Amino acid sequence: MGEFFDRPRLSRECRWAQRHMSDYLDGDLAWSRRRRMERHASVCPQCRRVLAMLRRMVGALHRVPPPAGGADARQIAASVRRRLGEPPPP
Amino acid sequence: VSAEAISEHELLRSARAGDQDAFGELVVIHAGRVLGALRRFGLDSSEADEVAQEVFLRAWRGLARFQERAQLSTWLYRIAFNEAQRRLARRAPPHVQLDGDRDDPVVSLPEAPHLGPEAQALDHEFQQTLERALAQLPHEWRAAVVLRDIEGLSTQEAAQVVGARQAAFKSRLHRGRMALRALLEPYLDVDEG
Repeated sequence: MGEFFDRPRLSRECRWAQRHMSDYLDGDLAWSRRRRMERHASVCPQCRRVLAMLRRMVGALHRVPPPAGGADARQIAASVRRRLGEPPPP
Repeated sequence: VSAEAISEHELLRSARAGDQDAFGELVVIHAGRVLGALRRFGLDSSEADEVAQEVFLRAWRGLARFQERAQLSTWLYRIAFNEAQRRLARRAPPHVQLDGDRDDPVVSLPEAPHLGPEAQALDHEFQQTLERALAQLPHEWRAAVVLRDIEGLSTQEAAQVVGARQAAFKSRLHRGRMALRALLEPYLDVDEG
């Protein structure tokens, strides 16, 4: 799975940036590393683009609605309620 | 402390004392979240319904062991994660192929309209594409993305759910996000100058 990180055309700084993008987006990078990421993104269009896509994707994931179909909560509760007296599986 | 949390606390106390009705109410509160997570981990609808029942039955039998300082939802996610992994382990692992454009698994997907971060609702077609892309991730990466980015758990909670140290969890999350980004690239492309 190294193809996401280790493409030969990436510079060492690009590889560093792409390994730390999640931490950057989650606010988990120390100040000096944040600055390093921002400096790099300001001069590297490729990493800036990857970072922007990641940010957009994580934003979209936050808005994914619950899967449709299947049982609803009350149906599950009713089924579970009926089975509470069952002995545990061996 | 919210009224909801107080109410859940009361229900939990009654359930631990053997009150099945109180436990049934807890199931109603949490079933949607558990079902959603099971589906997102990779189970189909009927499997998820069946496994969700098992999750709550395990929770009922294990209530005495549940430590109240933990979140009930996190504990249920953990049981759900373990049950789902047990099922998924019987299947062939998914494999992401991103070696150039020729094997790009999203090339054959339909074009999506531009997706802006400001969009309030996700385009239905994008949702389907996202489901298909998620299904191509290795189970551990997929679970990390689901728990952190879709279910909205903190890194600490999500790491607890999958039974990993935070550093290991963050590594899975990053790999999952990078793989998903690569799969969804045609839908996420941005003009960053």
